[in-house]
Amino acid sequence: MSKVFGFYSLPLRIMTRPFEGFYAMKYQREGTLKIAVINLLLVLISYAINDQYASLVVNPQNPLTLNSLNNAVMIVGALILFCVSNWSVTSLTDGEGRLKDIFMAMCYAMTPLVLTIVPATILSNFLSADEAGFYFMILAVGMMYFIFLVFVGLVTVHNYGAGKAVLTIFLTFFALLVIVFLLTLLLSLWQQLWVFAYSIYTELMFR
Amino acid sequence: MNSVLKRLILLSLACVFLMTTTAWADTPFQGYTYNFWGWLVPSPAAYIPVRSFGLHDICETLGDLSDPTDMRVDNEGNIYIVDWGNNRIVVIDIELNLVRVIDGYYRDGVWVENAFNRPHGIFITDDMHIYIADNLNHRVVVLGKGLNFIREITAPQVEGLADDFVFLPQYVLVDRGGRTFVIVQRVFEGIMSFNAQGEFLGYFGTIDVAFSPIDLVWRFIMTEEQRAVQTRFIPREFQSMDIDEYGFVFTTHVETWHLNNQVMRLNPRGEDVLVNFNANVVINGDQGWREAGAMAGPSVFTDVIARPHGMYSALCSNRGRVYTYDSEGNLLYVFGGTGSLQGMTRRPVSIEMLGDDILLLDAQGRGRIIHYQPTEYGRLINTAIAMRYDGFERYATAYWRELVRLDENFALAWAGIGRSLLSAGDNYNAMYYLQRGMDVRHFSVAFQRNRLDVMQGTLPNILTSGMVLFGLYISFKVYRRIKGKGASEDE
Repeated sequence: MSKVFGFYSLPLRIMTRPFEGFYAMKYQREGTLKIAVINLLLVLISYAINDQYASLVVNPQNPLTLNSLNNAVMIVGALILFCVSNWSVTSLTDGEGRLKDIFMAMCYAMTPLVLTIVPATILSNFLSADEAGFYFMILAVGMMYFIFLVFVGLVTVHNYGAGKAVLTIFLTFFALLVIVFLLTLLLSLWQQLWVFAYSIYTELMFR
Repeated sequence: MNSVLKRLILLSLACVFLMTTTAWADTPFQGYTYNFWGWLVPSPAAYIPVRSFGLHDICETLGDLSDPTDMRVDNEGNIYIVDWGNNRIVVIDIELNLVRVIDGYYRDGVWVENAFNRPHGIFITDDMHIYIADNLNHRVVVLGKGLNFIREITAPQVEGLADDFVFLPQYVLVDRGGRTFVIVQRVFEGIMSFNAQGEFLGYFGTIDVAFSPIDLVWRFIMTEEQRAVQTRFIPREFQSMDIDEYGFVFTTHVETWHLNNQVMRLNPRGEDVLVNFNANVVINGDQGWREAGAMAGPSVFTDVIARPHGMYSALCSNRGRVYTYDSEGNLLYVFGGTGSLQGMTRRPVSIEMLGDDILLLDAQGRGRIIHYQPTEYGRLINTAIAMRYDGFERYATAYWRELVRLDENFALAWAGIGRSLLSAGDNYNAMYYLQRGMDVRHFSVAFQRNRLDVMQGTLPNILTSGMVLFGLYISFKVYRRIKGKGASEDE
């Protein structure tokens, strides 16, 4: 397989043999950030294609509110948030993974999404409302396999047992909330500071 | 040069004046509808006010209306106005003639004068029996031809009613079987229904009380005492009702939750069978509103009228608008509004139909009736929807095309072209129009049929050529084998 797909062989190997693949990614230094980012870009492009070309039956989107760039920012933002909060939790609970490893594991785990979204989108153009279940089933299978791979990836990267991995993932979501809260706080404080500085500036200008 | 310029100016001025006289619709309001995603889309006015009149326009000695509450049109075109404050019913016709004033009746051949005390609602059956909800006399009066008293419906003598129960009927309705429905003040169990003899049958059209999860959490936290003190969850009060050609009862009620319908269509068993295929547009009038300031708050449907061909119009007392829906729950058009301009209402209380025209009863001040007539646009919609409802959809294409010409933003018209093409069998072209009209349901049907057409057109050729190729392959193999055998024998 590695001969056929060349540089893209590791993502496919992770899909077929996740434990061995993630092990190779981290400990045998086969994973590269370049391929991870390419995989992420492929997912973003797939979602853009899905938004644009999925049939009316499964995708009654308003073309005036459709914004692929916005979606991309949302996905990347959520990914970075999850990686950072996972890193901040696991570095306290003896996780071996660095931030780069976590990010790479997440991106490499996205291969099922790359492989399902575009075919499902093409298929949707041949389906009526009664058969739309097939489309949603393909998407759901891809999503579930992605979640499974994320789990395996985190377990392997941090060298955890299953129970500890589940616990840290729960803690990750908690850390995620804390980060979002702090960001909101920071934003509002920064805004107040800005308004304060700006009012001083206007006072001085009109003096 | 100068004269040419002058001529040009004159010409352009003339053009401007000509255009204003032809293209300017003199409506004091803006028509609109909602599209598939629940966005507001402006549209031409479907109905325009043609006149507004009060009792002083009909007869000098009649006096003014005082807080009128209800209005009905009988099948002869007479308009019955319940003059609540003056304890009488005024009957007029649309040519502004006074037909009669009902303030009493003959009981056993004796005229009873000033018989009503704050009459509130009225209903006229097909055989011209008049039902009057005589509010403060605690009864519903049934009058026959010539104002002869037939019977009265009084407070039901049944177990289960509160000891201090007072029968205060507000609105009354009679179905074909003679069953009488009465909306009674401070009765939350439902609409009271009585049989033809005036005996209490039970409650009709009870609204399901939905516990919200938050309510349940609160009840879990509360102590026993608090729970006991808190009143039970009571369903909302009915506002008004009307009956359609099939004997189904349309009702309106006040909704506190903005995702619930304010209109119900009750079958004879009292179950809500209202249809709405678009989940993004709820049947409660406006989908968005200001929270404070002028014209704030959700629509409040104070009256509803069942129209022929499955349509119904609901009147919003908050903003004075009339919302018309078809049998599938599509919002067809909105017209009317509050204000002091001619044709606008201040405190609309009742809506009625006279033929294709719509009458609104405005209770403000001296009281008046506003007469709306459909425009070409409104008439086209009414006709096209009627044709669809009656099963002549395939012939409605011309009407929908004309509507698209008048208002290109009207999604229902695009979908209408698509649906008429679909029922005429033109599946491929139907797909385009249904997509433009965002009719996903019928788009899917058209797509499925078109897919079948394509497959039936191409599959035989593909299969035949496949068979031929397969046959050629087999015969080639056989040929090779025979030839090969021959060759090996030769060697």
